[in-house]
Amino acid sequence: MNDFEDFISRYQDMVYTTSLRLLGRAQEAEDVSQDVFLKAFRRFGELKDSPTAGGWLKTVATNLSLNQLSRHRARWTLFSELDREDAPFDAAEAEVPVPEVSDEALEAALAALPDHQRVPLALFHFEDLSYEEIAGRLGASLAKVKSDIFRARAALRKALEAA
Amino acid sequence: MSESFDARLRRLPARRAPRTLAPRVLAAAALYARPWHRRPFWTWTLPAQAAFVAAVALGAAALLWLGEPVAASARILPGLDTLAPLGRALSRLLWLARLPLLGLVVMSAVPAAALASVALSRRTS
Repeated sequence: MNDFEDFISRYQDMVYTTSLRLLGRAQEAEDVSQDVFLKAFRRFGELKDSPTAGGWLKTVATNLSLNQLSRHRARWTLFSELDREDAPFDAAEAEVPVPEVSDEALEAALAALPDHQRVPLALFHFEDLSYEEIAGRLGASLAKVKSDIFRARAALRKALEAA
Repeated sequence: MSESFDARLRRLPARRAPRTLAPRVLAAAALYARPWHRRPFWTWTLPAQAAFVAAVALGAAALLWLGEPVAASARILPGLDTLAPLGRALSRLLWLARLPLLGLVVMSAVPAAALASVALSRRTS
């Protein structure tokens, strides 16, 4: 069990961060992180010395967080579609400078975004998924994913400028 | 106003996991380290849970429908005379308990089907 304790210590911040940035709620992120490590425990023989253990944990944390969100997905997809007004999409928008703020302020602004904006934004910037991959994972159209990410950045910028 | 969204977000440091996470995981892992028959039902794998519930439902159904024939054969077959009172008692007991048993079968079938569908969907996803 000592080996597993070391394993948890090594990866817990990464697993928790991945879940928290997708879920936006600390308690849910902790619950999902626990499930991730329990899955790892059942395969600990393989993972213990594996150089890909970190990647495996990150993938499982992402999948379990998205599963957790899927309970609410039908609802937020609907509302997101309802208020969509074909927002302009500009790929270069990601390169636009952001206001200089503290890490804490940026995390708080991220957590305050609605699920349908925060999730695709986190998958794009933190998990390195392409727009197509995000659309596939969320079961949404490519146009909707691009629109939601565009709106998420706009909302984030607005929140940070007001901070 | 100098850094892009992408660069700024990627530069965010990892959040510190709550202190309660590791103790929670270790306590749960200790539970999972036990043999399956010494663990709470909710820690079994979904297919095992579904199989158990289905087995209970089938067992109850079998008792319900086979009770009377068993009692009858105990009365008819030579050499089984001594079992006849037992068969009759079992038959009477099952007859009295038929409605609760039927309810148990129906109630067990619903969670069994639900667990099986979750297990199948997890396996295919």
